[in-house]
Amino acid sequence: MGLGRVWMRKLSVLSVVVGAGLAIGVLGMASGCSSKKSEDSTSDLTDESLGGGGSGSLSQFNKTGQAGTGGRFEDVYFAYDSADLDGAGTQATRANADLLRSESGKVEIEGHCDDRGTAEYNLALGARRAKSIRDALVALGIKSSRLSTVSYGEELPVCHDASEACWGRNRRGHIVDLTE
Amino acid sequence: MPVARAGAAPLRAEITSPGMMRVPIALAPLAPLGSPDGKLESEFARVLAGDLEISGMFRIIDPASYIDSVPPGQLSADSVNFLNWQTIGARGLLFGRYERTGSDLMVEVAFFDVPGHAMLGGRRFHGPPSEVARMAHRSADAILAFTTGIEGPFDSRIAFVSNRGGYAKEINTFTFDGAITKITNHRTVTMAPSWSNDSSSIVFTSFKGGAPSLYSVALGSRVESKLATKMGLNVGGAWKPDGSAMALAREEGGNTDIYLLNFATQNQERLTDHWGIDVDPSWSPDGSQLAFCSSRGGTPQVYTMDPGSKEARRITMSGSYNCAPVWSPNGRMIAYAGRVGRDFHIFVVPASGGEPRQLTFSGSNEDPTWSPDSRFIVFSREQGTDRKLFLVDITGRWERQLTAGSGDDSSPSWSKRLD
Repeated sequence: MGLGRVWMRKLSVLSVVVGAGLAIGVLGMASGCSSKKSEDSTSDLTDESLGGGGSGSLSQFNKTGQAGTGGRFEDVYFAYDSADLDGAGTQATRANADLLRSESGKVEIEGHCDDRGTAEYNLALGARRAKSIRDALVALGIKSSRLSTVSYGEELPVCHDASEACWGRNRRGHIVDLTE
Repeated sequence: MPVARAGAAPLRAEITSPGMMRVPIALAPLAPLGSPDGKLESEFARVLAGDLEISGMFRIIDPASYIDSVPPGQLSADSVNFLNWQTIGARGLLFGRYERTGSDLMVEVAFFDVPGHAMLGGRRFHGPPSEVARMAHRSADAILAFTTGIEGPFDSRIAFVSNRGGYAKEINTFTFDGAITKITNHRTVTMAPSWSNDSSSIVFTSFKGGAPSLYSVALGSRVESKLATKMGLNVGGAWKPDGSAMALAREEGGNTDIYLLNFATQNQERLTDHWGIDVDPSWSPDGSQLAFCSSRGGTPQVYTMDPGSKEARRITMSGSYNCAPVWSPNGRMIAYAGRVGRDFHIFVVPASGGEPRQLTFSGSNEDPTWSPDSRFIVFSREQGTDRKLFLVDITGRWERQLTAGSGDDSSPSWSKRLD
């Protein structure tokens, strides 16, 4: 058989190579491999704080391990793999616009996804969701300079079970005040 | 020159033939040339046997059955009593010796084809005694080389994301002796680690600054730097094989596209310009093409493109969601995660397109990464409530869980073979 012939050739080549005795491969182990264990990585980025809007999903997660829900704005929910506002989403956005119209402060719009789907694609999908809400708020008369967006993809879920109910809760746009 | 005995089947270990049997091999304990170090001997044996077991290609014969495991004075075929090993059913046999002199450890191993009464090859290693696990990994890789012609993958590292020990998701590394080392301490969410082209640094995304941004950490010094990318979302840094640039996904105005960051000029060139989502760049090993995931056709699918002409070609034709493509180091295949019903599964497809082959059939599986020898894929599987790293061979017949314990392990990225 063809495969057998190839193997026999290989075998004889190897035999020639080692026929004179033990083949030597000296391996320099001294440099380049780290067996150091470090509990804290050194970071020279001391001017960076653990970010996210003060009461935002990321700040809450960093403190407690949970993204958290609530706040004074209504969450907007999306269909699977979609960044389009449906009827309920538009209604929630109108309510949020009404709140914002009478104020002047800045807010951050977070886009989130459920965990079905790959992490990097979901980061991009979350960005789209945040942008959809932003565009709708601008169309409803809110100044765009007040509105920033961020995506957390599937990384900051509000629940963890594998159910349609939980997945639906995670596919959300969430608005928080930017306190600065 | 040693010759295979007439009538004896040559020693072969191959995972591409269906119905392949695991080759029975014997691993004699390392014999000391100077004063013995029992701990070192057992660590070497544990790591070597572990690697060969994970490969799925070998069955290690119980050392209790070895008739005489003292190596011959000379590590050559003429000095081995093959009958002792044939009697216990071994087809492959490893002998080895070691010597500690001061702060240097020398290990030498030789591997024999028992029915063929031939030595297939040997290796000698020098290094600090703390590197004994790496010497065992390289010995396992050598055994795969001697029996298949292709060096094994076990002297390598897998970077991955884990929240073990807390809730923050940090970058960790895994080596096949089972050691898991925490690399970052960002105390927030990190994602998508990948290796620099010389496997000395890990590029990853972190939420440390508030929005997902790319960082790199040098494994040796643990020094981190934030990569010079523009504001907004940056994820999925993929080093070009020649080290000159990095592909990444960057979001601007809500739309995410693939960009190429040239390290010398710090210039970012936009490679995709489409209203759809374009993410997950993965280089072909010769650096001439990129595989990526795009929703330009309506649903997330795998495409390849020439970064020069920017012409994209769709690779996945069936299924409603195919993403996270990774190009095999031998250039021949692309692995990806494809949705089947409610779950995701790992598939491989020829890099030029064609029939995909499903490799996993239980749990929900994502984040494939290739072994350096293109024989195995490591991925994350969710089964029940948590996520762990698993290994599968390219036929899909052999599967092994790699990590255990509490928490979720995800986003594995397999380095090249070290050094």
